[in-house]
Amino acid sequence: MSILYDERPFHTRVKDVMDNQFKVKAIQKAQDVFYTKRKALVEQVPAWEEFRTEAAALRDHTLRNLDYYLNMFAENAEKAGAHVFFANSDKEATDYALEVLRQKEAKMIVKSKSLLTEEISLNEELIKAGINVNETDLAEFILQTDDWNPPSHIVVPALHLERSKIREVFHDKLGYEGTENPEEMTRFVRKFIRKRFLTANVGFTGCNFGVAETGSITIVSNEGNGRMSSSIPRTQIAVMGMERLVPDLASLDVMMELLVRSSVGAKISNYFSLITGPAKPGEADGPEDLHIIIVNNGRTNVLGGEFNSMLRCIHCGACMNICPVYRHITGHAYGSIYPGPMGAVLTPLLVGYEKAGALPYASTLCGECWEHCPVKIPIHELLLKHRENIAEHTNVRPAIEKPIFKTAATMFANSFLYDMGTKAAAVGMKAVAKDDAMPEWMKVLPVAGGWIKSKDMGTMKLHKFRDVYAKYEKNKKKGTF
Amino acid sequence: MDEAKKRDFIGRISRALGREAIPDYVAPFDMSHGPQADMYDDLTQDQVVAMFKTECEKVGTHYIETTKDQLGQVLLDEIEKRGGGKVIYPNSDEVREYNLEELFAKEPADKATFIKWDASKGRDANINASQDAEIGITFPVMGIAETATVVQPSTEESGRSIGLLPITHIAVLHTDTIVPRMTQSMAALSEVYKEDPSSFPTNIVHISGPSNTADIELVRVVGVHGPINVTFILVD
Ligand code: SF4
Repeated sequence: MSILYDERPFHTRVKDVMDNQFKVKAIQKAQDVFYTKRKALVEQVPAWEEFRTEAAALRDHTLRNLDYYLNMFAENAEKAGAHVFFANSDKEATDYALEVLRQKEAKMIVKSKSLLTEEISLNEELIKAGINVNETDLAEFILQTDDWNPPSHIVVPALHLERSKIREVFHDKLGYEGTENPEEMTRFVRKFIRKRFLTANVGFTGCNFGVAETGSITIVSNEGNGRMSSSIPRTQIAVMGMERLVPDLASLDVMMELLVRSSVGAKISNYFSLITGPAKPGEADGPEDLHIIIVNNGRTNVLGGEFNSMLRCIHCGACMNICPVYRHITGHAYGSIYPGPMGAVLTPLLVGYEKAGALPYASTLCGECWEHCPVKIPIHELLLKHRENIAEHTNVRPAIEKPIFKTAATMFANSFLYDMGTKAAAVGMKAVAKDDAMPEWMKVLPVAGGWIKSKDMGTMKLHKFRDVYAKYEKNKKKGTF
Repeated sequence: MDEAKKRDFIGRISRALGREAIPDYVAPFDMSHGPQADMYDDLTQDQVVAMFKTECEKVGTHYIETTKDQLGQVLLDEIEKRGGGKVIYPNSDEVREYNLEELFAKEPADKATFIKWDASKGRDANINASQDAEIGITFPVMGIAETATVVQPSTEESGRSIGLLPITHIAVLHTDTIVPRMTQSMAALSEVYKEDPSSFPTNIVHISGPSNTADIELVRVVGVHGPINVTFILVD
């Protein structure tokens, strides 16, 4: 998959989603489950806010000194025996990976979950080269088996497929004869993939955090496929975004405090691997060769600029688990492997306004994403910056619409200056709307247009999501949903 | 590493940060005032161990408490409870310290057979033995109370596969190695690294329960790629 997997107009994508209510309900359920679990856990950490502040400062410190820490990381990783390759672009990254595969005469690879490998279209390039590619994360395996169905959520990417559909896919493609019971299907996949783990030549993994102090990479996983990919094949290739560094081992403590709680509402993932170099001579398993590909692919355009804070992101998914817009349009309406609020900021930075200029409008700017972000990225402010940039500097919108967008942007900006709270945004909107009716200019906002059609929201009321959520819960009990 | 490539890559980053070259020195980020620094400071070791057990109960990880004298028997009982079969164990000091091989040798073959990890036999032999085994035994070096986690390095004596490929993983943990948080375990690992980077374990996995997933309709299923059953044996 490349960054954009669906380049149809935003409206069309939203409409498609609206037509698939199973998908919408599945995402809503995921939001509710993750939201509730996360909330309960965070309430048990009295110092949560201090942790967020510390983590944000730590990320900023690392980004401010990224050249220094990357250099340190590369030196230490090499000392530990890893091969480090610096890839300026997606193509450089996949070319290098292919070259390693060629040298190893590799025919089959296993892969654990990594968004970055999607970003650089690794699978496509490998398949083109005739490599047998095996996604091993259960959800990714389901999506691959269903002819590379695109992901709808970064943490649970196959949520939009109901179990009967998964059974059907397994039956048709893999000859599965069992029931649609999730446990039975999971056991089937365990057996199916285990064979591939044992025979694959190369294991591909992502990297949650690189540790500069030791040159280590880390993998967070629950299923164990990250462990498998980094333990059984003779060669491991880890792909890491250049910004995903922490200075030292002590920093991992702070990042892990926040990452898993924010992501799925658990204290810790079942597995957290710290990998420092390939296996030593004499060890009987683990990779004999470890390659670490560090990827830029447009990130230096963001570094040090007005969107710098976006690079703090640790891909936890908390912002999409809380977003009222994502709740209604789901990951597929973004058309990007980076969906939700983080994706609405990041995607245009990586592919440009021409292709993804609609995404910054897929937000009510309520600010819940920022409040839930473990590294305090002011996502709503960055979305607003995008809107201002689009209005001022691009030809994405027809000229006549520019003043409209400018008004909208300023309106939001003023209300945020007045009060960073989300109610202020609602007030700002109301001032335009006067009576609850839809103002003309809002109809041209891609999201407002699409969102309004989702009937359960009625006319757009900019409650804080908490209120929306409470109302949703109440209505659910009444059986309205 | 392609040095020119690296210089080019990092040079772009320096320029984005508004400078020409990598700085010679960066003052380390001061973590001493973070909330993690003094959390659980007032707990006794007994309370820390109690926290580990409570956390196990909360997340449903099975644990057994025992003493050094009883460990061998407790291990055999747990192997039997988990259905016996082929058991793979490491070639490590603990095995000798507790005379486990003597005990294993006495166990009737219809209950359990034991295979020792032996790096000298090479990669395929060891991975296949682990793949064939129903149970793998390991000796993690630390425990983390807050999350009921064990910290498992791999070495020549104890490979990655032992606690990964069999359906059941039994981890034997000494209670005096349990620390409150990752704050302390990471500090300890950092010490080990600084002392001698070249002897730092190449793979250290933090294990907090059996492998699981919620990928199909958010239904929790235990046992995807890793062990389906996990037992922590806590040795006092
Ligand atoms: S922007 Fe923040 S909340 Fe969203 S995925 Fe990134 S770190 Fe998580």
